[in-house]
Amino acid sequence: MVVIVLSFNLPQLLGSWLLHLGILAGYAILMPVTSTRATLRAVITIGVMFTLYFTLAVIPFEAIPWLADAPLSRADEKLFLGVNPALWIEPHVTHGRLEFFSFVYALFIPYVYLSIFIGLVGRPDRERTAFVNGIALVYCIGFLGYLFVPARGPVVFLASEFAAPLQGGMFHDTIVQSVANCGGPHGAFPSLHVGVACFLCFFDLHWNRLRGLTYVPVVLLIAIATIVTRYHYVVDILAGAIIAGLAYRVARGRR
Amino acid sequence: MIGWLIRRAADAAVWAYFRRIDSDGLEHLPKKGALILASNHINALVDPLVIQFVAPRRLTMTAKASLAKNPYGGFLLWAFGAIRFQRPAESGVRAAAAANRAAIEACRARLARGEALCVFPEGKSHSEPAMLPFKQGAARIALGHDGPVAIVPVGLYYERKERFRSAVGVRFGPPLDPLQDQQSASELTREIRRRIEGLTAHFEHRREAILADWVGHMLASEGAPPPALRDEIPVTEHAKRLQRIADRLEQLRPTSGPELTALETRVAAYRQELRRLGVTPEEIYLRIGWGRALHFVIGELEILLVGGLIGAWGWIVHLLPFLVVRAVTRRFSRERDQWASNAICPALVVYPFFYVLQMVVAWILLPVPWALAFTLSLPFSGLYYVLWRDRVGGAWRRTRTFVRWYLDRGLQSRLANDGRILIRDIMALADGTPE
Repeated sequence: MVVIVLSFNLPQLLGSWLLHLGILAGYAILMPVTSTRATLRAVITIGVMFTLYFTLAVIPFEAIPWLADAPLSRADEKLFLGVNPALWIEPHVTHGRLEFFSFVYALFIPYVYLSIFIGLVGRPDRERTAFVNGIALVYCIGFLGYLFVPARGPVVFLASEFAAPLQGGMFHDTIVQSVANCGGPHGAFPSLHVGVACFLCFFDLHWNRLRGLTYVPVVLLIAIATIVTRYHYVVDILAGAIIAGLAYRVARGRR
Repeated sequence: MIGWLIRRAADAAVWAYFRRIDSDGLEHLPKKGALILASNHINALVDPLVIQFVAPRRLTMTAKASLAKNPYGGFLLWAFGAIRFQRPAESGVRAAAAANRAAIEACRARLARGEALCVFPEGKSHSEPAMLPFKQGAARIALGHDGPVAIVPVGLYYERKERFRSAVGVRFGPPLDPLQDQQSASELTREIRRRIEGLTAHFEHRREAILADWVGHMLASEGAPPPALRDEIPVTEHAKRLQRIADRLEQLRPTSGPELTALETRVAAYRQELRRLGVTPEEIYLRIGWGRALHFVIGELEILLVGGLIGAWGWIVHLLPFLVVRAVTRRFSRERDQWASNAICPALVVYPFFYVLQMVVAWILLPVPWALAFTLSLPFSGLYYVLWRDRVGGAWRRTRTFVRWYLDRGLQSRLANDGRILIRDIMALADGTPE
């Protein structure tokens, strides 16, 4: 892991760590007396997960001698009785819809950071531990998929079959730029956008029902957005949701 | 099918009407076999609906036959498969006796099939601070049944039963076996009463009940900061505390009358002051710190803004049926125990009617995906709106209290001090019995 961390994308790595140190500092200011050790452990765990997420872009494609795009795409076609959902949806994606779903796709970032902030601050220790265990489990299983089922998603694999590349506006350009900054499309299987968002939603539905319900429509839209923006296959989304369910069960059991 | 739909609609209506429905002692309910649930009766038709909501098995209701005079009431009794009992005052002593013998036989037939009955031995709903005299119907049903039957006492407690989005607690006690424990119907009835009394709080006067309720909240606060808005204390815990207070009051009244009166006066004055300020007993101890306030603001603003869209949609699509149900409730409710029933029963048909109406319009006017989204949004946004409304209301109250304490730290300090002294004195008088 140290090699991975030291080898890739140092500025982003530093940015990620600074963000989490910021959360820690914020916590220390806000809640100076409550369980600093537990919070420190939580912040470090999540920091490591995020660091791995940023640094795992290239390794699998160089280290693993196969690409999983073709089987994943075929699985999608079997799931939809011979129709490839990524290609089917193309004529329905207008400029406005693409912008809307790009915005939704980008919503994942504030959703996950706000959830982590709320998950780490002002919660009872046991609840925080469950939260950290669960989110770490989602990322860990997700990374296994990234490593052993390397795929770049329909945006690359089906590029020649789409009538045209996606042409969005400000929001779409922003997410394209963000993905490029993270090493380009990678880690299609499973969808951690959906996996993490689902886990946060499941977790909140149990411990903070109103917040969980608030994000149910957002999570559903995020799942659709990953298809519309061509970053994921439908099986990636299903896998993400299953991992989230599993992690939630484990986290809840370890309450 | 209609019965099943109405029962599910009733569950949804009960869920929507009450902010919290807590239960305690569900392990005492046998999963199968003949069962009689005997409960106190303080909220008319809502009582059986609430018990059915928390009970893990289907219950057969018992109800007064006069409800069927109203066609809608008759429809509901039919849909729930309720067994009807006559009141002598309504149909004459002889006619009532004959009809009730048949009703008792019908109850025994249900028990013989291993079903569960829900009965209210007081015979009628009321808003008295103590239970009414018991009728012997439940005991006679049980004693005349061939075979084993368990009688499980049930204690219902409503936070403010006439208020929308209040809370209810249902406590189940250990079952009693009528064949083993008792001989006669009157003895068994006394035992059932004793068991239900063990699950509910009883007071001499309504004022005493209100003050005890307030004291319960004060003691629950333990002079510590209030929990987060999403972490309410279960209503059943408050009901237990209230019962202990009632029991202790009864013990203290003969020996410590003057001290009790003095303490009651102080509690009443304290309560009046807090009510004037619009502050709950727990919020007196709210911590005033900018870090916590910032965390609170971030969390609540997120719900307010992100959830506001769904909440506003839920409000828009449910406004019309809500207004209709509210108008009906206000038109027909006189007593405190009628409000919830007069809201929930009309809601069982008004909301589905408006749902169907809106869905028909949506499927005619909108493309299929939008019509589908609209259809799915109806129940979800309704469910969301009631939760969102509670939370925003709570956040607003807490923000107002925070600002009040921030601007007048001396007032908070004085009230917190008074509260702690009162708690100490109450505990001293009660000799530590209520926790």
